[in-house]
Amino acid sequence: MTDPVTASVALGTPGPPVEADTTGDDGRPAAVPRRPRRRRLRLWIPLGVIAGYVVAGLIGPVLARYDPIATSVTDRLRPPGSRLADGSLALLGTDQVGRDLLPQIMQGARVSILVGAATLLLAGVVGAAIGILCGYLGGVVDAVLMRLADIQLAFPSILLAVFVAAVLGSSVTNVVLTLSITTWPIFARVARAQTLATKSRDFANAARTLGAGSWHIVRHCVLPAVASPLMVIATVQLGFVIVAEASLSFLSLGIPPGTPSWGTTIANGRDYLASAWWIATIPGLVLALFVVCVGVLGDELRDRSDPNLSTR
Amino acid sequence: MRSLTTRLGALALVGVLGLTACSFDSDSTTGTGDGAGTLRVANPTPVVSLNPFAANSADQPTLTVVQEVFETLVVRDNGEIAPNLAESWTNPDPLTWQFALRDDVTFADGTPLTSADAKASLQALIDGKGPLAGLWATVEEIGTPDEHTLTIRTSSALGTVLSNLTLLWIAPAAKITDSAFFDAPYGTGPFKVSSFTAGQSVELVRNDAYRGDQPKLATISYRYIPEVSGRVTALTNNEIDVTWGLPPDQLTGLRGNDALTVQSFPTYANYYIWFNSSREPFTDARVRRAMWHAVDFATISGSLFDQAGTPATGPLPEAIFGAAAQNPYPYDPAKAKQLLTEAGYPNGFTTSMMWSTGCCTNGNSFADAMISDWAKVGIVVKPEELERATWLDKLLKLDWNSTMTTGSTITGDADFTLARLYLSTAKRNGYTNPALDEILLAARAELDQDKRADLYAQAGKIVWDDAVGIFPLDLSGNVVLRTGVNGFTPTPNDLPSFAGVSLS
Repeated sequence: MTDPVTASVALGTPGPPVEADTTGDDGRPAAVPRRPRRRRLRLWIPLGVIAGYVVAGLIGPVLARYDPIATSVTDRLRPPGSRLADGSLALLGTDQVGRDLLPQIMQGARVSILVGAATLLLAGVVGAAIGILCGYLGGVVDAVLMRLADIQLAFPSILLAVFVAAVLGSSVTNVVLTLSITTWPIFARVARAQTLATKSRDFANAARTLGAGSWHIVRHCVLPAVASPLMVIATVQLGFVIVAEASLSFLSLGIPPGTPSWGTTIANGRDYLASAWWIATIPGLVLALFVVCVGVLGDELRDRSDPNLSTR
Repeated sequence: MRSLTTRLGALALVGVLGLTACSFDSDSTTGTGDGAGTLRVANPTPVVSLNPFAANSADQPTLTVVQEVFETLVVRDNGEIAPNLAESWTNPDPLTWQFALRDDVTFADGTPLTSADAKASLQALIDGKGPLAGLWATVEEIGTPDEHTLTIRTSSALGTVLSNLTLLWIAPAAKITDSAFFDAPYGTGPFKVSSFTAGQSVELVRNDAYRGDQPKLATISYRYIPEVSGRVTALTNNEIDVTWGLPPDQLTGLRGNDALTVQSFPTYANYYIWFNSSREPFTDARVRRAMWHAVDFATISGSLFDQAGTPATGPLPEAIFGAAAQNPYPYDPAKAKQLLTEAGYPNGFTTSMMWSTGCCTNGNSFADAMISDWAKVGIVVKPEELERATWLDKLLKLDWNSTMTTGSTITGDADFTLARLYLSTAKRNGYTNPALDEILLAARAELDQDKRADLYAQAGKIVWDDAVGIFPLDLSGNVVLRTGVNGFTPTPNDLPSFAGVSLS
């Protein structure tokens, strides 16, 4: 989670060139008006896919009514493309109690994206606040809070999540809480590093000389510098958070039964891998595609926010 | 970009390595020509103890292994009690049972079996305070008038002595208080334990001092494989010879495999959904009956439990002594609505149903299907899947609305289930009925077995007609064997025994 590229963004020092064809990133942005086609695809394809998921999550459950309670045992374990007893077409097949998988996966997308966004918002706000506080104040506050973050980062995050989830019990709010607890140090570290790099820059010193208070400097000098790397980190973390949510739900520690999530659907299909592969495989692929797209988008955003391009 | 690709690649590599590593530890010691050799068994639940006298005395995995090592005074053979270590028995008076033990039996270490061993075993079971200790609550005195005679005196007449004795394993009196003995116990049975790792594996070797026909197997090796898919893979890859307790959906695939034989058989186990009769709205029998009429059990069991269960005819499976067929509850949502209206819930109500993770064959699907049908008559049931320890704690504190579980009448005698769970004093489901209590206590005190069966039929009718719970299915057991494992006979107590098995 703390690879050199992230660290270089955070510290505001030039990172190594990431790919050979990124000639536009060598410090002369004005000289290269258009990015290479591949770079643009790397931004727009994942963005398009993610937008597709968001739309499916938003309007999918409205279009194809999904009632997690209604089962139809005579239609159970039908392969993708089967006609059901009521005449409807199950495009992605049915699960072990005869529920259509397509609306179930769309409902799952809604839950997963919602949990992911809420977690990142909570962890991001809390993490950034703590990071800026540490970076700006320094001293004992910094030492204590950052060692806490270090200790937590030394702990495998999924193990911590399982532990916290087992203590809190399973509900959507608790999943968000659990995952926020495991994610905040990452935001805090980046925010702290960026604050350290910014607070003594010339423009900040100038503002201070002109009599600006701490709050003014944090708001107008530090916060804008912190925001963009945090956005990048958030994108990268989204993938991890969604996989973590699915893992918790798979272990029945996450989203409670009755609310479909990708993790619970995959867990349901675990015993049917040989006889009804589609129950676990399709949501698994859907989840994998989403996480890969988020990862590519995060990498691309990271490259674009290379400090040589975004000097303030 | 590079970092992400590397990470994903590494993940895939780890996955592939993990999968291949799983299939490396297969050994094939099966088959040495004369039918001897090692039978490799994968049990679906872990064997955590080999002590059949304490907390695990009613534990199916423990009993599965223990039955190969120890023997009982009497056995249940096709529903009838038959002599085993005891040759014969009499009742000098209604409070006394006298057993004549065989005089030609020795333990695996060569010491002869005496009545002192039987006495020590019964005393250990009572002192162990395990789940079976309650069966012997009225025992006053255990006597040993001579080396081969055992007497049991009870404070009130106890009609269940014989069926209780089918679960009293006889261990050597000199060793029974030594807890280290149960790390590698031996008895009078066809096998003895050579090694045991709690929760993981048990190895049995032939007992050469066994009085009966020598078993054809030299050793039996039990290994715990928790995941169903893991057991199925091990079976198809010839890493194990036998497993049991597979979900019905897995069996459909295995039936077509030529290398495997699937055996299904009726058991003493059934599904039941209890209502907490001490809590609104389940205090009203009409509400409980409405719950039953509202679910289409015929369709659900036909689709979900292909050959794994048969519709129940009474609160106890038919194979049990004292079971009797009752009037079925047909699927009738209109009737359910009408009963709810009569009880004052015309628009239904909201409640919850709990069960423990992995408690039951196809449990989650079954719960989903029932909840779906209940919703159609306006009853909203919130599913609560709990970890087993939490579930048990809530269950015993009566802190629940309804609960789904499967239970086995391991003694094969109606008293074990009806008198243990449905007496008012048991406080297990909030149901109290003095008429039922009277019948159950009379049945327990009756020494005439035919009269006892009659009384249990009456008790079963009350439990069924008052809908203390829903009894949807009697469960069938299944055992899957690789071709070449011969002579296996299933038993309704669902404790697969391999003493008569040979390998070819």
